[in-house]
Amino acid sequence: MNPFIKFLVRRAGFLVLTFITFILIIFILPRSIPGNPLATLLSQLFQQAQTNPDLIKAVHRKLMEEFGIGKPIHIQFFEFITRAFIGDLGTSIAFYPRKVAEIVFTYLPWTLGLLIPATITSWVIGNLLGALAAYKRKTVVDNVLLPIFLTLSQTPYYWLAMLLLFGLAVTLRIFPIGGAYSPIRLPALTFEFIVDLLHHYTLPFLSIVMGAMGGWAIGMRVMAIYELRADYISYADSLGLPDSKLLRYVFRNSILPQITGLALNLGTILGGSLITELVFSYPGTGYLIFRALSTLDYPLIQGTFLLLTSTLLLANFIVDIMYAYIDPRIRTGYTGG
Amino acid sequence: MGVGCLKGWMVIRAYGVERTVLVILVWGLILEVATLLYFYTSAQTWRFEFQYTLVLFAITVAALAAFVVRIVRRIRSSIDTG
Repeated sequence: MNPFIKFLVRRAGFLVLTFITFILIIFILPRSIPGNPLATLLSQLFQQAQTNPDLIKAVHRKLMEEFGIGKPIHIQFFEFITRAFIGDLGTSIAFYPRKVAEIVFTYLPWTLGLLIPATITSWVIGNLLGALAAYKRKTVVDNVLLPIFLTLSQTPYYWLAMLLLFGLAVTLRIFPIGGAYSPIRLPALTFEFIVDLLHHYTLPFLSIVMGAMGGWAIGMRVMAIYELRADYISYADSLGLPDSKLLRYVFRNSILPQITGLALNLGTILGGSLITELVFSYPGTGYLIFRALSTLDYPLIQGTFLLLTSTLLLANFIVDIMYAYIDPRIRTGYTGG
Repeated sequence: MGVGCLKGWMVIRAYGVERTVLVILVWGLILEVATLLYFYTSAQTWRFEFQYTLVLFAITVAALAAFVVRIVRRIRSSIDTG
């Protein structure tokens, strides 16, 4: 078999294995939480309709049947897998009778608009400031930056979000306290609405950027200091190479662990952003997952996690193929050509 | 070493940096395409979420294109220089 095809098959195999493990986890974990997922829905129906207990029992039976909650666990799992593969994520319990796909796709754009720019910004700024602190070590710059990095890196996302909320929204009233836009505005691509959107966007964005930045900066600072002490730097310096060249070498060698760190920390970043959404009542998937978890909405929990994680696995796989396609050396390495 | 050279920090060199950023961008792109397809097939293109995703999609595509061009250039120059 062609080595490149072999590589792709191996990667695809790992992808499928990871995916199956993940599906098992997201199926079992919510079901291990004690409680009846239909209780909230039934109590809502009861409050709205003031129906008699016999009718409630009948509705309960019908809902148990519809959601398949009373069925044996392996049958539930099989049904979930079968439906998921044809794109049916089921009906939400908390938002009954809305479909899970409809709910997730309504909330998803808000998370994407917040998470991706904030993650990339925090990573870039963190690494640049970390390198700056290393380069200016034992100067005022480093003495000021280091405590800030340490404080930020040890501050939980939700605490930082609440501090920003209290300082800039509640006390100084510069920014709104929550939501993605003012309730008096109708969402539209108009100038006024976009300004309002950005006004609401600033605090959650800052919260994620600042929360993640400290860790990156410290990591980069440590690596850059280590590299600055290396023999090859002293040698290059003695040869009279310009500072920009030396720093490029330092940055290049220090950045590698940071890249691995970003890949490993994607889950933490995602989790942090979900909590931030919750603090700011931002209508993203974090807010949605919280609603789903607090009401034990199995279909919604499964649907949201399934979509977010399966696409992340797929993105990793696509990037592997892209690199092999772009870089002839990788391609040649696999094909032996 | 002297001081005052910010140029070295301001240039974020590739060497795999792009890969992780690329994963995030591709991930965003897949989710954006899925969202757009969902709204389009369910005839909900009037929704603000659809328009917002369309804007995000354009930004992601532009960023992705810039990254791919950058990677191709880097690879070509590194091959040329051996």
